[in-house]
Amino acid sequence: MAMVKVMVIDVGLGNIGSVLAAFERLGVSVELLSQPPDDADSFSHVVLPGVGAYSAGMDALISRGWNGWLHNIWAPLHKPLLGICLGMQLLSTQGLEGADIGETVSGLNLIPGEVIRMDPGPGLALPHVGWNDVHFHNSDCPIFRGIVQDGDFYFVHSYAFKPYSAEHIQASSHYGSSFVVAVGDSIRNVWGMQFHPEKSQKLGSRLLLNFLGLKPFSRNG
Amino acid sequence: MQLALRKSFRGPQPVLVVTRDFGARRAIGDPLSQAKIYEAQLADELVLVDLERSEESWLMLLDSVSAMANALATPLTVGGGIRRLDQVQQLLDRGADKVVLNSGALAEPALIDQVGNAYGSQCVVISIDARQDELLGWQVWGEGGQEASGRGVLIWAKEAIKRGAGEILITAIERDGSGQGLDLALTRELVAEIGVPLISSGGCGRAEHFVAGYEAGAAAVAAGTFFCQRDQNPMQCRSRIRNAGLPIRLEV
Repeated sequence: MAMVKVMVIDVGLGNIGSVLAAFERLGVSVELLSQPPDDADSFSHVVLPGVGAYSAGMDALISRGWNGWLHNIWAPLHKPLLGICLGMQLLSTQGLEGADIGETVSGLNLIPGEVIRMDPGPGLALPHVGWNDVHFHNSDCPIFRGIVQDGDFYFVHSYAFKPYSAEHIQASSHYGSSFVVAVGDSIRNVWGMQFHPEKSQKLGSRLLLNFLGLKPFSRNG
Repeated sequence: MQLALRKSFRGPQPVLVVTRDFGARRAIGDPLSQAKIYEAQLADELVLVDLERSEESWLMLLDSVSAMANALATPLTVGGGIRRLDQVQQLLDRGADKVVLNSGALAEPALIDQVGNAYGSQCVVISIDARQDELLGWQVWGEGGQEASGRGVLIWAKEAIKRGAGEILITAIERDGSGQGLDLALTRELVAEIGVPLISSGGCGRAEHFVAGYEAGAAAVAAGTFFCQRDQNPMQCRSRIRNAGLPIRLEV
């Protein structure tokens, strides 16, 4: 297996240290970068973590040049990219959080969809905080290999990703109503998780290990 | 699970303690070792509160948070002595997921707005330590439960939520460490009136007390002393809660 070296994008969006520590516990080489590197050759995997508001997240990525780097440098290589929590939401086409009324904020548009405020219904509070069951839809999804169906993962969020295409939905949970908690495009090798694998004990570690097992997609195999 | 951290009397080492009636403290051991045990036993979340709330203990708290965040994959909620926004950043930088505000917010309620605006309400837990007053009903006590704040519990909880609190951690001071069970009336009263998750704390002595707390509407039940005595551990407690018919995470 080629050397695994994980790049964690750090643009000041909250609890990045826990993500870094989670990969270190798995024994892989990991580096925090606040600015995009000149080339992508020395990294095998990129992780975009973050908590906070969608608009603030996009501002932080764009101002440092990450939007262009992810599209023009990383994505064409088909190397694995994982968004966690806000990082997953930012993979979408557009979001409502932090936008003016009637407006939207443009996202990275790596997985088509939109991020909207959850509407769990009466008696259920937002944010949705705590452990919840995760139901994956495709047993062949490499991210969920070896993960028990309806296993619990840790969540903290008020907005949820709604992909435009059902084929990108990898897993869902229920909080008042169903919502998408994992997205993935195996061709582009872009993945996202609404929950926090780095805070989800054994199951979370397994999931990160599955991500590290992903190889650059190549049409020639 | 509520874990409290304080400086040992014997030397500059952090020691995990549990309290009774917010007074007498019993040392449990090294915070990191204990936290690892609690994670292995499937604790859902660890709440670490610095009881000393001094400048020296703050640095110790930061070190403990770093060590725990590096070693554990369990959500960490940390507080004790937070009075300024930059302290919140220091905790989050070291791997805390949420912060607990108490006396700092009572003294300066705008602190809640500041933290909520900067990091989102999901990051802000307001801890309310409550004593019942014969005339005034449930009252908020600050400074480690030692000073009457002059605020009613419900009014303060609502103000805190309006300002951006994402969760309320309520502790009935007189139940702390007593093992008599949670104050269910207080739990129910708050659940009925607030629109955010309530963590009920103070008094769990048997697994049934957790069940009663959830049945009263609490989103979570926190305990310290309970998990430090006899052979009680989160895993057994969890099984008992599941056996009572409540949905809770079990080992997989």
